[in-house]
Amino acid sequence: MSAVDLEHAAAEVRRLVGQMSPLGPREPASEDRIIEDLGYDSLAIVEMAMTLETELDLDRIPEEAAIDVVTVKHLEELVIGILRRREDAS
Amino acid sequence: MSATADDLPAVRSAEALYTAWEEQHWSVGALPFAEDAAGWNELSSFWRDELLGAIRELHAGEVAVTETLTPLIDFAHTPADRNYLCTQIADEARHVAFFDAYLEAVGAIADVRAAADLATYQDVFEPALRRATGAVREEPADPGRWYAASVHYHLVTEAVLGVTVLRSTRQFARRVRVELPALEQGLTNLARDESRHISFGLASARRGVADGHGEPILEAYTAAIKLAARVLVGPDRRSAAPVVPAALRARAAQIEGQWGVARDRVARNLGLIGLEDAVDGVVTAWDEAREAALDDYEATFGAPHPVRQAQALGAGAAR
Repeated sequence: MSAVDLEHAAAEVRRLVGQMSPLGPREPASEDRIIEDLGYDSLAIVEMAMTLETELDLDRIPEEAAIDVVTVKHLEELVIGILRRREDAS
Repeated sequence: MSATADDLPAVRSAEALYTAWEEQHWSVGALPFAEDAAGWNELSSFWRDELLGAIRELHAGEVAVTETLTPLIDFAHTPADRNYLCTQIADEARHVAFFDAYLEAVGAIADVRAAADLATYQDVFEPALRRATGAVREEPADPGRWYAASVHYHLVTEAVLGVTVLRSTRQFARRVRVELPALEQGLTNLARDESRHISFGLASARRGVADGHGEPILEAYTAAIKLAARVLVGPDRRSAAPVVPAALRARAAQIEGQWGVARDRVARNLGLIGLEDAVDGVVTAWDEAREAALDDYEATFGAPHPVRQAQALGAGAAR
């Protein structure tokens, strides 16, 4: 997967996270915190994660590879990691 | 030692419940379904699916209890019990009418009829409820059968499963970011009705225990709560497990919160009917049934249930 594709995926993460913010649609920065800055609560995080999985066709990741997310940047890294693993496995 | 009836908190009599029913009427036709139809179209697919899944569970439960109450009415132990139970079957019919009208209004009735994701309830729990109430007709002179059926119906189907799903559905509906006034009002009305039904179940089971029928009551209760635990886990229904760890934990916490409400009810019911000595054993049976259902889920889908996936991730704080 090329750097361009990965950058596109990261941009897509930012777009979806911003679009689904409980505070209303916005353009988040990578350093924005998902809960504190973008207003996500537990159910909104589940909704956002499920939408991301559908839109980006994400697979389940191994437990040892799972990272938690506080900021939008963490979420971008997680998604890119999943896409890289899928690329390596194919 | 179990408490005597005099030591237990007061519960309303059948006569008082009849009077409360007369004072708490509501009409399906008066609810603003058109407003919900407009709001429903604004829901994201995530919220719509979640809400529809919960409503589907409540709808299936209401249909089943409407179809299985009559043996308890026919062989009620007192005229007051029979009068009260006749009000209850009217309630159950109204609840079915409410969900039918709601699902029709929001355009989801076909989805509900086509759905096959309530297998555990329809294939395991509901047949057991039918057997329990049907057994009353086979041996009407045996009061133990009537009490066993009432326990299955009122204390497990309604006071454990019904209360748990109704509560989580109401909470969920309140977090949806669009107005659904008919659903809010309808579920509030249902909750009020269910409160009377459960009061009756507690009062009659307490009387059964006091009259020496504690053994069949406890046996029926234990068997039914094991099935209820299985229904709540849903080993035949795939449960979404988000890839994002924070979302997976949130999802698991939401599910475990629902199971916790049910487990608390399982224990509390026993205390209220004078069988508090049995709480530990019954709660253990509940936990074992839940774990067995989780094992079956994993065997069916080849992956752990989201609750177990979240447990495997550990309870570490977000970085």
